[in-house]
Amino acid sequence: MTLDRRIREALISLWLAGPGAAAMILLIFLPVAIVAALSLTDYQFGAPSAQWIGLENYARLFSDPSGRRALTNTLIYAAVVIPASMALGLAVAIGLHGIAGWAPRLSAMLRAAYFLPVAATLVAMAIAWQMLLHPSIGLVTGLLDGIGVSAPAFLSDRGLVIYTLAAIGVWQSVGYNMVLFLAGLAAIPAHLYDAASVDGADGPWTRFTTVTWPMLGPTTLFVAVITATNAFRVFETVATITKGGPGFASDTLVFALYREGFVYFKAGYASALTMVFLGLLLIVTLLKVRLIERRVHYR
Amino acid sequence: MLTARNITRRFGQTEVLHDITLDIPDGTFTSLLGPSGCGKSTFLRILAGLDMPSSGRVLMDGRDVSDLRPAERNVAMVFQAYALYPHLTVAENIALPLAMREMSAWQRVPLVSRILPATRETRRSHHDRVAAIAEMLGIGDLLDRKPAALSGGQQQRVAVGRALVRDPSVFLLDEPLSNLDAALRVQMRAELAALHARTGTSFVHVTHDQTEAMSMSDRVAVMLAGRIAQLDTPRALYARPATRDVAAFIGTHSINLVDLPVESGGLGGAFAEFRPKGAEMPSRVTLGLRPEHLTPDPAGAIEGRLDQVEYLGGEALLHLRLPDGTALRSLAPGEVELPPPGESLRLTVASAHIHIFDSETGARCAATLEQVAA
Amino acid sequence: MIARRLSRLLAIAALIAGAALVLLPFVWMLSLSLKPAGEIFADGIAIFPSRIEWSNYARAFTEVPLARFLLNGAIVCTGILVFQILFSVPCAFALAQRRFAGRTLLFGLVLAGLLVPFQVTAIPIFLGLAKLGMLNTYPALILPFTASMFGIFLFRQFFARMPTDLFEAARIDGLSETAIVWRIAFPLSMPAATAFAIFSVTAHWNDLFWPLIATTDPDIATPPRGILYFKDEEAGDDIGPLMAGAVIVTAPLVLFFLLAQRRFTQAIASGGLRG
Repeated sequence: MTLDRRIREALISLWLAGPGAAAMILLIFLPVAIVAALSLTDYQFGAPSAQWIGLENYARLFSDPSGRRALTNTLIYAAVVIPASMALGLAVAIGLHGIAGWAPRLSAMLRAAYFLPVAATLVAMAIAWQMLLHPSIGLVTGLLDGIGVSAPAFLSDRGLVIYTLAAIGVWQSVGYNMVLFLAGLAAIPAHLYDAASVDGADGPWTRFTTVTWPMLGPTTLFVAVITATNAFRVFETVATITKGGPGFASDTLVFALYREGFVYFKAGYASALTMVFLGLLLIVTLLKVRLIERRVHYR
Repeated sequence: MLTARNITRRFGQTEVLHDITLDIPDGTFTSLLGPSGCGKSTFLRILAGLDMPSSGRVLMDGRDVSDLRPAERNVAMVFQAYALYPHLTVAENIALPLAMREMSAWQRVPLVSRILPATRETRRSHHDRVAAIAEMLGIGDLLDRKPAALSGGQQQRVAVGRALVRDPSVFLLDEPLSNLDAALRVQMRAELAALHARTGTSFVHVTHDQTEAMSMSDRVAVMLAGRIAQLDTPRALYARPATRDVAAFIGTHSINLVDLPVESGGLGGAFAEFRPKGAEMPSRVTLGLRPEHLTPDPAGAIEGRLDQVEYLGGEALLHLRLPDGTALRSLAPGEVELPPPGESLRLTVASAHIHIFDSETGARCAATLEQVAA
Repeated sequence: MIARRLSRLLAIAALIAGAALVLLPFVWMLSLSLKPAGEIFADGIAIFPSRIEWSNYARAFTEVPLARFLLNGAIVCTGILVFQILFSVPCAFALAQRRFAGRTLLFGLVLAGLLVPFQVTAIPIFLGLAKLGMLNTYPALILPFTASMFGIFLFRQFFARMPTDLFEAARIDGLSETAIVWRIAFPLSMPAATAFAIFSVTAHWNDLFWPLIATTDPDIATPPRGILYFKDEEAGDDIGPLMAGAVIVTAPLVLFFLLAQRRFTQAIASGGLRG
């Protein structure tokens, strides 16, 4: 006897989609639930048991200077990286888009140069940056010395270090944003510029404000969301160059969750940090959804 | 014999097939003819086993195959867009069903097949069969090409070859000609009919093109709004449409439909010369007159005013208006002498060519007409 | 006309200067990796070494098991990619071309899963692997990444655009659904598969977060983890070899990028969807 066709088809679907779905539950949703639960306990890796302590981890996170520092540093980092890398990415994209018409080879070469940091191994590049900014053998330090400026301690000044890391973050994401903006620019129909110049919008700046910028609306939103999520995730440069130091001056959320969880084994507290990190990302997504709803007329 | 019994198919709330029952005797060429959206493709997919009916059964030679997948039913199908595998060569496209049927999974592993003698044997026989079929379809020199490098007609032949190669129990054709240009379509029509004659396998052919359906099939099932409105030979379909809707659907020039009351024993208006005979008539009828049966004749029984003439070469399509305002189309030989538009013109029609339908139900009436002198 | 020329010239000058700035760390990394030790610590600045010191590269391979790191990177990236494809392609096919109960729910979960970065799941996954005694193994580096929501999403979008006829023809031809996935759908999705492979390999070759957590054994360290060992071990006098190591770790992807720029750029850009 053949099995009922509907049951057979359902079994086939289960065979195809089941492993992926199971892996998804096991490796994403179950862990998220566990992290959420752990964040309410004082669990430590290796400890035989744990206590429910309610929101104590969160209270500590927001009251303790080191916890607050991780959060504010992450926000400062994002506040620098998001606008700077977007503005630079857009500027480079407009420049390359402009010269692509009459100097395509140069445009392509420059595009590759700007994109290179995206492809490169960030840990290795972080070391290169550290050497570039090295107080005694760094090229930047040397150059500043050469023109008679005493170089600041980019990586050991407590006030400066997070901005230095943010600058590296900008360096790393300009190329990525450039590529996304280039795609957005390529999608703007040329006749809109013709129409604008007929209407008297002739200068480069007016062209930008009347056509380019409004037409890039959806791209800009997309780029902003990606840059923001990547910025909130900053880890490699911190782990490689400063390890959160000096003091906790360059601590960030993800580095703090790594340190608290996997160096000090405070799983409960690290889970609270994780939840705050996830919360930040969800806020970004929510903002995006809100903005898309408001901006449907671009589609 | 392939049998569909009480097939109903619902998508959500909408029922697209209403309780369809159809027998397809062995060796016949059956067309499912209908306008787009009538459910004919859905019905074909149910016959194939690609879709499952909401209720009803599909039987092959009396065996219930409703729970079998398409391959287990051993059906072959040619798709409208051919659905050739773009990454395989023509030979591989045609051979794939053979490999799937006659080789086990591990025999299909490329390396193994080269080592095992038995597998090599099977491969060789497949190769020969593919070559023979390709030769028969005139694509023998294209075996190493990829589908993208072929013309529409060649792709079509590959699709037919793929269907033909494994001796299926029934051939299902889903609008196989509609992507071809007109000349090629006429040629492929003849080739498919010849193929049917040679293989002796049942063909079920879905189309919205009545010329295709009429010219190729033994039987045509006209499908309208999810029902089979009439199943008949092409000739009967044209000569004796079972309903007003079928009459309206069949015919190169769309049929004239004239709504009339039946007065005491006779018809009114321009058709006063015709009297019903035989069976009872309903109180209101719709007469169906094909333009090609309604020709100018000075002695004709019907008089109208000529509005417009469409000259088509061998024939001319005349647009007339009866005194009561009814519009009529008549097909006249191209060389006929016509009065200028605006003048009156008489038309004749043989009473045997007038179809009578019940205005209310649309069903054909058993009664016939006879012409009496006014 | 002159004003226009001038502005063009200025734009090019600015773009070139910017590119030079972007390339500076690469140049400095190469420069240091080729400088003799004495020159690295010499006063004054020189971008180009006076003579090329290849021994830094030789020492990079002897002072740390750099070859081992590279091999580990290859093993881990291949393992991750193979599992990701194995899990996501059939699932994506079912989502795109089959009807089944829970399909909409599953796709919704995939979209929700896209929003969860790996860092969020690290603690429970670490706990689980520790319970299983699997830390410091290749599976610990590979298995946590087998569920790629981005992979499922990317392949689903690709499969959804493919004509259903093709898969129905395959059903008629006697292919099982599994065979349809791997013999028809997957070979036809090569553009998506390539993009996904580039994205996945780049992400995991460069990843430091998880290798830092899941491994303490240098024998299975991936390249970024390994280079960090190197950096932490050397006391500031082995900068030449360290930079040589950094160059070698960076080289495979950078070279591949330079050879296949278009594909690479598109693949990484599409990766932005992962959220």
